[in-house]
Amino acid sequence: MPPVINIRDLEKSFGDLEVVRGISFEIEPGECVGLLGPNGAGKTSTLKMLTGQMFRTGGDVHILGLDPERAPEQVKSRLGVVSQDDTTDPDLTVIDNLRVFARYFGIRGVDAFARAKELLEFVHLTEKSGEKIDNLSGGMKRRLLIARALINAPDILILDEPTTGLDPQARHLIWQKLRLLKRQGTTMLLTTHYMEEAEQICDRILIIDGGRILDSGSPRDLVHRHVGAEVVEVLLGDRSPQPVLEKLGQPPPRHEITNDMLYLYLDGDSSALVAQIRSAGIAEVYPRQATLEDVFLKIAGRELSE
Amino acid sequence: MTHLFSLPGIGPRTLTVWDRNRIVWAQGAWVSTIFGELMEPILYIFAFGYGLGSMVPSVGGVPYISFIVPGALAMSVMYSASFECTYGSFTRMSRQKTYEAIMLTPVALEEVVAGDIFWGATKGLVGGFFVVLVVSVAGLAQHVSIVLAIPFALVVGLTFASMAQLMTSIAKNYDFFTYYYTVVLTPFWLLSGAFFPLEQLGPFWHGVGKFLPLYHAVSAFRMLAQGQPGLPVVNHMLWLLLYAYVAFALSINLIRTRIIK
Repeated sequence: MPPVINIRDLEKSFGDLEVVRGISFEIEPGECVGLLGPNGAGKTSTLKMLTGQMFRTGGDVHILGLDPERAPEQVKSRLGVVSQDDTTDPDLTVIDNLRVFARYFGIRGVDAFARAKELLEFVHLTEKSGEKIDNLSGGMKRRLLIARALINAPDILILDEPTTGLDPQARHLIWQKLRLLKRQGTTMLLTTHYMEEAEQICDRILIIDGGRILDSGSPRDLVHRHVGAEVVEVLLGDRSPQPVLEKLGQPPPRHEITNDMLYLYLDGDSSALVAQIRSAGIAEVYPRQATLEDVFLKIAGRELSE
Repeated sequence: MTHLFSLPGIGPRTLTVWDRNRIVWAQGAWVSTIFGELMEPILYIFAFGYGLGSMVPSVGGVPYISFIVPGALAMSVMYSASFECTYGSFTRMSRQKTYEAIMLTPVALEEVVAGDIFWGATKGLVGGFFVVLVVSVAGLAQHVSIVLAIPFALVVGLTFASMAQLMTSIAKNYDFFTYYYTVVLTPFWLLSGAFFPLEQLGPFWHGVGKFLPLYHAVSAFRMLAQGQPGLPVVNHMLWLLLYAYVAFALSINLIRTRIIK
């Protein structure tokens, strides 16, 4: 099967400000791809050029074989989009948000009603059916947005930071629903700056910063390639890192030094190394599993980009 | 710059946006609409008609109270359409992000804006309907042809809804509309012949008034209220449609450049 999303050399600039600088990727049917990057990396701009909310200044975009700027209606009829902002309609009740939205897709009457009820069930909002939007929590609104994005049974679901600002329970419920959709074969493209979200949901991750893709791969592959299996964090305090490193053998393990922290990256078990550091008189040694966050910080840097 | 005045391509999906507004209105706001639309003409007619009318016996052979009926009609349509497409549309466009939500569906942004303008025109029609109703019940209608003022109110509504939407397209915040109401619309009713014949102001202001959309609305309503439907009414309608076209196209094209970067 051909890729459902095909993006080549995508560019966007506002005057002299380049926010997307040559992004290319493909998404296969049923795949879930995450754009991972800090604020201002160009994630949302990339999505907006797929959904017709922004015009690109360079490159090619094909969604289901169609250019969204040339055939916006056909493309949008096959997409479900969960925007970053709360765009629920506060003038309508919960169920009417879905029924009225269905009409924009040409779904009317009993079909719209049945679909709306089914989706409220799916996102656990059946009891809030007649409620006003103002009476919903942030997590409920986000679930309603996801239900709304599914009203047209889309081929592709696009989610811009689906769980930003939600409490842990709300976030886990949304992840559970997204994994369920993935198992049902929905193709998904999402942006996030939560590593855990990317690890839980995505088959493949594109790490984006400064409008470019810095690296890509499955979460496991990225962690393995860049970091290894385990990370040992050593709080140096006022100590100089060199004497510590010298005690750890020649050559010392792969490492990174930032301010008062020493990060050691290991491919195997870290217990021997931890014991070695502790015997050198440093108590604050924290071994843990390597995560995507380590990869991200390694690739995109630890400094604030703003 | 010419593309700013070109008519955007809109299709039947525009009506789904109109319908969204109708559904919201039918769920509660209609009560206040009807109350307001009834109160406004009653107040005008009592204050200006019975109050002022007792001192101003007649205008060109028409009792003063009947003279101001077309004025009250035009003002009611103008304000109903204007409020909807300034405060209402701006809320949907900016604070509620309703435009952004709908444009994620096959409905184009152009159709979203057009749907809001048509809804504003419909509110104008509703306003016109209630004035005709009050006037007829009060026995102030001079001729049965006043019923033609109801469909004509849709044209007047479309003009003022489009102009209001144009203000929305350039508004940064709600305060901006205060200027539109005080600097643009209020002088309109002074210069439109709504409450006194425009000739009273002398040839210069009479000439200026003839370029204002409210003048054409009042003049056409007056002809319909006084039993003179005919070609001059069509002439006024064409003037109104010219204003409507320019404001309609401009507002949609400006909102598109405002929202889609």
